[in-house]
Amino acid sequence: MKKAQIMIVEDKKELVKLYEKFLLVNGYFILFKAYNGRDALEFYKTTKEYPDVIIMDYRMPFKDGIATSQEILQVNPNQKIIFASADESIKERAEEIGIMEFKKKPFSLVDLRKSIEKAIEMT
Amino acid sequence: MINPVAIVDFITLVSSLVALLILVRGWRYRLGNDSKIVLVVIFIITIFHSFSNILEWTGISSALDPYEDVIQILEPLFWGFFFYSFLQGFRQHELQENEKVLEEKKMFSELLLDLMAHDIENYNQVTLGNLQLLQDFVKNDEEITELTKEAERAIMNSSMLVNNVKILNRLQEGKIETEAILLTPLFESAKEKVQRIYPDLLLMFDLIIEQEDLLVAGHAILENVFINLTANAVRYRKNEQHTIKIEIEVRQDERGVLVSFMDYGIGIEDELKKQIFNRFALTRQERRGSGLGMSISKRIIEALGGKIWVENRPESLTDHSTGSVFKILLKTYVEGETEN
Repeated sequence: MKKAQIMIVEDKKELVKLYEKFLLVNGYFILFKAYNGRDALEFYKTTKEYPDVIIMDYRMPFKDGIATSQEILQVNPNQKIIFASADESIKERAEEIGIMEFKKKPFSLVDLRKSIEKAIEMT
Repeated sequence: MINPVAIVDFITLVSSLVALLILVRGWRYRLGNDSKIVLVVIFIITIFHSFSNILEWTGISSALDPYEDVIQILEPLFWGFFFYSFLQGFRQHELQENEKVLEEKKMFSELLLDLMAHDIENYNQVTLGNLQLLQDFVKNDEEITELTKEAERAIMNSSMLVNNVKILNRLQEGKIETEAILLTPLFESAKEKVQRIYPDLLLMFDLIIEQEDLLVAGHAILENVFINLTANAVRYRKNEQHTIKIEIEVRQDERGVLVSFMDYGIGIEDELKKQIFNRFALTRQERRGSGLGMSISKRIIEALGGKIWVENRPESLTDHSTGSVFKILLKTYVEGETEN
């Protein structure tokens, strides 16, 4: 069975490392890691294969998570994005643009796994 | 021959003109309209006064003398008025400057708080995630699992504290405007959030609500009151309790909407019932939280024009040890009415 492909968009290196470890332990494949919105978009617009799920941060250099998600969803409206942010005040805006789920940091990795599985089921 | 007094008057005239010009130019931003009008009048008077003197002392004419007498009486009055309005304007300008400085400081402290809260939550996420990964590696070691779970709870509590501090800052700035709020979803999300902190316990809400679609004049931050109350019901549970039962009754009366939040915890001694709403007031009862939650809850409720107090459970009014009832009185939402 093909491993589900995940893309990580997060500027904090420690968090990228954590997501990586967690995803690998749980049998997912990391398609791409971006430390800012600009790099994430550059990859997304040129890739031949879209990730099943994107874990997206909000505050990042060059382009924030909202603007990045918005452009990704314009390219592929079916893209499943799990928004992970410490700032709950942007939850409504993120949901309006069509992300799949908003997770307020800190959240449990068990919850993250459930959200990823739900997203994979939907695709 | 020119009279020396005329020379003095001429010098006075020129000096007055220069002084007025300096005043108008140097203080143009600080002078109010009234000061400016008075200043123009003084300017005209000074010219008239000096011109009359020059005419008189050069022997050309003394026709302006009678008017000069009247002006001499009025002139000090005008100067007095000018200085009064000038000082008022100066004070106002100082106040505006102070307000500007305060605004800048407020914005800076908001920025600091925001950055701090954001970064703490990110580090909380890193720590929590790594602890959970560690738990997966040492599944069979109960002692390590218990220790990591304890650390997890501390992280979630620190996150709750960060949230409360952010709310406190918001309340301090008076940024709360009431809107129509349904209570049931707030109870549900509060339960869900506290359950996440204590996954080993079972939280049960028993909701008695007369009217499901009852709207209160509230705000989304009201959720934090129910989070704090639920977290307290868990923290101050009796040792043997693994199922935390909370009864919530909502009913409307002539005063507004009364929410009774009833737990079966260790209860609160009568002497401490009022003190729990003040931070660090607990001195005779074991503290199991930051002490900030109840004081913030009170501030939130009061910012919404409501009241909060605590009583013993209705079946044992004289015995606090059977649990507590937190009563919250909120205003019923009326369309078109916004307060605060």
